[in-house]
Amino acid sequence: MNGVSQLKQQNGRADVATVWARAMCGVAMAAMLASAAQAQQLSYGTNLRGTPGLIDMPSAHSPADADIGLSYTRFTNTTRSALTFQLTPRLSTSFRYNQLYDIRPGGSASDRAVFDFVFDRSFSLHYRIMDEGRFRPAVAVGLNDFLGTGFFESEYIVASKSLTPDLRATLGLGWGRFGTQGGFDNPLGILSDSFDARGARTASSTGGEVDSIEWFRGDAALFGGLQYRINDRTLATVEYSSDAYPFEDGTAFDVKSPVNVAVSYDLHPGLRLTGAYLYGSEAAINLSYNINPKVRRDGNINNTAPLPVRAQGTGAAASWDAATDPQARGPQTATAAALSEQDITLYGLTLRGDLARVAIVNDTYRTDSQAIGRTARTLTYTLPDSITRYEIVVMRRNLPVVSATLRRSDLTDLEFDADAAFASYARAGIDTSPAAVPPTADPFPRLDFGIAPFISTSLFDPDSPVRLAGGLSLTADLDLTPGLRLSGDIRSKLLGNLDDATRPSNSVLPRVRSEKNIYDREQTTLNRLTASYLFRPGTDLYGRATAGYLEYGFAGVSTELLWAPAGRRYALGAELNRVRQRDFDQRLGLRDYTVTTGHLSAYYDFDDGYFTQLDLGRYLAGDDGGTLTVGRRFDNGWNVEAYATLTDVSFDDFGEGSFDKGIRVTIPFDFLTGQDMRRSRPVLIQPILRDGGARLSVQDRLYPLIEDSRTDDLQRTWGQFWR
Amino acid sequence: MTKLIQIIALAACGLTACAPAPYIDLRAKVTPAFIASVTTPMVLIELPHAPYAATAVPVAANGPVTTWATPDAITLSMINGVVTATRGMGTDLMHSDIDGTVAALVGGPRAYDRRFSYQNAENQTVLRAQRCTMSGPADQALTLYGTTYAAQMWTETCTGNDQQTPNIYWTAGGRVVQSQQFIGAAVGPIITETIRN
Repeated sequence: MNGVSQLKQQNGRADVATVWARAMCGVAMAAMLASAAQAQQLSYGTNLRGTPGLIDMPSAHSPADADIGLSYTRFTNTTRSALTFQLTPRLSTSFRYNQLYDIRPGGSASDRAVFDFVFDRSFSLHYRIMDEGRFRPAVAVGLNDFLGTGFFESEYIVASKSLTPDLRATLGLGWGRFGTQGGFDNPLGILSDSFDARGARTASSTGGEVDSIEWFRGDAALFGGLQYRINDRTLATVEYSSDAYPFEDGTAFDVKSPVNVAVSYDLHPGLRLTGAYLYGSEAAINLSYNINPKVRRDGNINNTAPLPVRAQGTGAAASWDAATDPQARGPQTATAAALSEQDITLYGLTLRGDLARVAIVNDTYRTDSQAIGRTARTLTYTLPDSITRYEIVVMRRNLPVVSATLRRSDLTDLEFDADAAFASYARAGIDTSPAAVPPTADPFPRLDFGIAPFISTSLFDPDSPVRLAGGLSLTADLDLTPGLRLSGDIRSKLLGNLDDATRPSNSVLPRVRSEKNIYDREQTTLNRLTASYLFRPGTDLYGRATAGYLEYGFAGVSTELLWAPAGRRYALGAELNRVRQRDFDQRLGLRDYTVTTGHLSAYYDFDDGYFTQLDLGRYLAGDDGGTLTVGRRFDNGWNVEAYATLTDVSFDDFGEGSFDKGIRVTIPFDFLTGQDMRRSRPVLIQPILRDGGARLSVQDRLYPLIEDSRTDDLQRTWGQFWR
Repeated sequence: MTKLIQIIALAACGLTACAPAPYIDLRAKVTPAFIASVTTPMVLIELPHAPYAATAVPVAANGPVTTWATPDAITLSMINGVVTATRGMGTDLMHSDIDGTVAALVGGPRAYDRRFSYQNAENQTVLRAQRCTMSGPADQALTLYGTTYAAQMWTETCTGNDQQTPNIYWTAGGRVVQSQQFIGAAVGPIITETIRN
């Protein structure tokens, strides 16, 4: 660091060459980053339906908060793929794809039609009402397939209690499907006669209609089971199931006994293999993987150390003469160079009196707190001691989104203070609608390009539950003026099985998404080529106009206006696009389909990263409707959201699943690799898309661009200031 | 399906590449010729759990705290050789109050509290506290890289913050010349050895 010859020996630390391999480890093997194994207690696994439970039945415990589980189950004529997210410490949400063969949706009556194949998707909720105590059991209530569009509509209340550290018992009462084995009159009938009967579901191969709500009605039945831990990695389970499989018995498989047995083995922390013998007739296998965004087994993102604070009066103090350099060109040059060493871009710097106003673009660090902190310490070297206050303005492209004003003396005083994380936040002046800083003279036009890995996934395809592709993405951004950017993204796929998907689209709608598999066959593509302009048309207003090849499937014009009042939890947006479908080869050619699409959007942020969004408008296939999204955003870039879209497309026209719904998981690349790479495209895990309720994908949508500067993120993550 | 196997194969080789290779001790490279070339104070630091070793030199001073940096930009901030912060180690020791240790090593009270802060995987601050007892000193002659110290060995036993092993300090002339100090659950202990004062 100061020219002294030094030595180093390292093993096991990531270098650039292993970053890509690590990323693939993280996704393909899904094993390196497992959540901490809870070896000291009976693990709270998921059952063959992907929900917290025993084998085929639920139990009362639930995974750790924020846990994400992927589960894949196979037995005769049935394949289940599930994604379960612990949305709150008590509420588990599951989303499940079922491939069902030889099923008789109308029930066991022999005159009902048998369908060769049904593709079913459903949501489940599991809420833990009560935690286990010394004498009392844990108790949970749950709803399966509660939108009533599939084949697994059932409700339950269940209690679980650990009898010894290695033995746990579960007893529950089920309704719907869970009331079909050994069912009896509904005990809730004493409350009201309306609980006694439950309507029969309507038969349909696409997943039926949204029924009237019949929760907890009709016959009820008891279920239960025992789980015994044989050793730290092996768990044995026996259960009595109250699901008689009325739609499957006799066609898909035979139900000969309500008793199921299973043995689970943990192959790796988080990775569990289960073998089961079901209903006296069928062997089943299940593979599940759990990961928790709150736990990074390899430790935190590995930054190089930041510059230490230069204490006033020590070292080589910078100088600046306002008389000879009124524009502060000297400090600008020095600061830009020093920030660039830390992958932060200087946008603007002005000096007036004792105040420096410094605008930065952070394309590297996950939290703005960290970029602000690194900038502040850099300024202690590049500005003279006479500048005693720094206002550091964080820019998103050319939009100032948040600023922190710091006293230089506080940096020195708090650098090694035990309470520095909190004290420095308390002393920083945070402004969520900062005034603009004029750009330095030379950044325009500015070219920025890079090569980064990308990973594409396709989940829950009927032919293959997981498809992946990985490759390199060459991106270039040319900023012509503040706000005006030409941008391109060329992708080259290196490996993966995404192009194995050969199932032709059976969609009767315009095929806006269902032929993605054809697009995926191309090796090298022009993913994006756009001109975009961002601007602030007024107080609390943000605007965007984008034209060109917007995404893999569509080209055209996209415009957006966002009203996001400073210091509020809500925002409103409007987007209008006119787009035309692109050729499969994703070069410059276009296909015939053209559509005008757009939405009115309302955004609301709750505490602790929970958020909701409502979009109303016209979708890519020309269908009108709305999307409700509920999600949870983590301060390390993870994002998990559940969404449901209802449009005027009929359930039959939509096809399997009746309407678009699913859980979408965004995994930040830096979490997988351990290296700072905020700008890299995250890995998105979402179900394959059909054509109804599909939205255009555009870069630099305004709300995602500014959202993490609007919420309490800066306060929650302020400790990163010192990293 | 073949391509999926390729992915898994790549992942497996990635796993091998990420796994620690056999560790070679850096100390063998600190030869008399190397020591003779050193013109500034220098310490050798080792993280046995990483494993990792490097030399570090002072790059900044702020009050009683000196910050030392390795060639690959890991820093260690110490007061008289007692670690108060680290950077560049992943799950760093962000901030601490180790005044009790510093005082005990020069004859202050033998029982005291220590406080630490870390950042968790969600980039949020986590606080930890310890109760510690200092025992010693025991006289012990110590030779480090050609310099012999009439050192005193101190043993500091702490409960809390997942610490299992005691911290050990060898002091000479009021400063720590060699030590083994616990950084945190993720990083484990760090070993410091003075190469040149």
